[in-house]
Amino acid sequence: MESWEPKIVYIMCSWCGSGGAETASAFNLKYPENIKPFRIWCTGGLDPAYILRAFLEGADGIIISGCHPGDCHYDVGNYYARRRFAALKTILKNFGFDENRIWLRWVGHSEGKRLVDTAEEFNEHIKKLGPHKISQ
Amino acid sequence: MTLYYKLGDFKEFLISLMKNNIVDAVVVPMRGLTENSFSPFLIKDIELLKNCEPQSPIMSINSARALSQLTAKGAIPFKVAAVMKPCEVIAFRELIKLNQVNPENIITISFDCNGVNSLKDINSKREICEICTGFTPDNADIKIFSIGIESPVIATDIELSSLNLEQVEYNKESRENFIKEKLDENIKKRENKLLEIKSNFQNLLKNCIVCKNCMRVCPICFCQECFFDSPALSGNSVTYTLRANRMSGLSFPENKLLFHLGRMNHMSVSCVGCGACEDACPAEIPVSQMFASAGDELKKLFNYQPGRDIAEKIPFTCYEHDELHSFEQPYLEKR
Repeated sequence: MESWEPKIVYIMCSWCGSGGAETASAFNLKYPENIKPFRIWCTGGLDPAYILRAFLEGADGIIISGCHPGDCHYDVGNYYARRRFAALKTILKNFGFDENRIWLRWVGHSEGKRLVDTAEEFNEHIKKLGPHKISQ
Repeated sequence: MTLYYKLGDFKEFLISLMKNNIVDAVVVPMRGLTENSFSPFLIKDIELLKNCEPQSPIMSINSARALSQLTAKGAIPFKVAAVMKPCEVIAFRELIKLNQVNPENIITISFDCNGVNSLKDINSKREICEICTGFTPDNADIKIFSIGIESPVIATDIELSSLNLEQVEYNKESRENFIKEKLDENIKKRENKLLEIKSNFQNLLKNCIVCKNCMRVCPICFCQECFFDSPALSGNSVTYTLRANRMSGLSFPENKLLFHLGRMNHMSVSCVGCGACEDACPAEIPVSQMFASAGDELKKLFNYQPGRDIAEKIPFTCYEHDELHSFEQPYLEKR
């Protein structure tokens, strides 16, 4: 059990989330290595089925980062994303899944520290929760 | 202005609509090949209309789907009356919002619904109909009231003076009391039933064979190419083994949970509760009750009611600037 490292998918939009990662690298900030970044065009284009697929296929946790509301590269994509995300969490909670394993936190392009902090905080959070088990 | 007329016989009323050229064709349930098979028919012949069953006890498909198919290549150039159950009218209105049906020249006629029987057991009611909360024809153009009053009444905004129908008053209070009582009863039953369903969710799905019948018959599921049919979900032996390793063994048919939860995310907010999915399920999974459970939560979250108002957008196609902050993870900067 000691060697267990959570498998975490970090979904970031190509403008702010990934931008945050870029800024973090420019400042030499490091995030845990078990976090797998997954770049998408815009959080507005993130179908809940993709999050669900990661969730059901063995990911211990999933974080989603996009531009702050009002700051979307495509103007309004993240507002739609927030609605879909809220629906996803509500449904998972309704049927007794562990919806706390999915987080949404906005990270701006310049917020390298915020991205790294988020990654670390989430990693600790998932380590506390333990491995994600789903019976098929 | 809404006018109230006396309804003699439902069939006669449809025939008189045709005779007086108010409509040129009717979509109405009719008996099919055997005693107990009913399906929506498109009828242009008055003689044929004499055999129709407007309040059929069986709903084989949701007729909103039929209207969607009918108008797929453009609006109907003549007037058509569609006799639908309240849930079918709601589905029709949801499809209008989704641009899947052209409502031009379609007049919807609906009535107080008593629920329909299951296709599997034609002597018992669909389970979802027992816990239905939308049994009144609130959204139709021509409404036929029958519960809580002595004789059926037609309520409509449409000009029907050429039919020479007798205008009547009806006992509004008695009807409303009756509806309220039935609604309260159904809501209570619904709460208990859905609680049972959601606490037993994974167990109920264990027999799912992912045949996707529920998706094919759903009036709201309209995508030509479905994500759950896409090659993105298939793999080769190597990727399957990788997946099996990742998720402590891979059960076949795969993607059971993904299919149902994914579809719930896509459309349960518009779920009309017609129960077509449940009837189509060969594994006897209470699909429509699962969707009702998810749908009720989402409808509460977005304060949305399918079919209520045609101008009201489906929650995923609109947004507000300041909302749902409880779903965003708060950030406290570490110094």
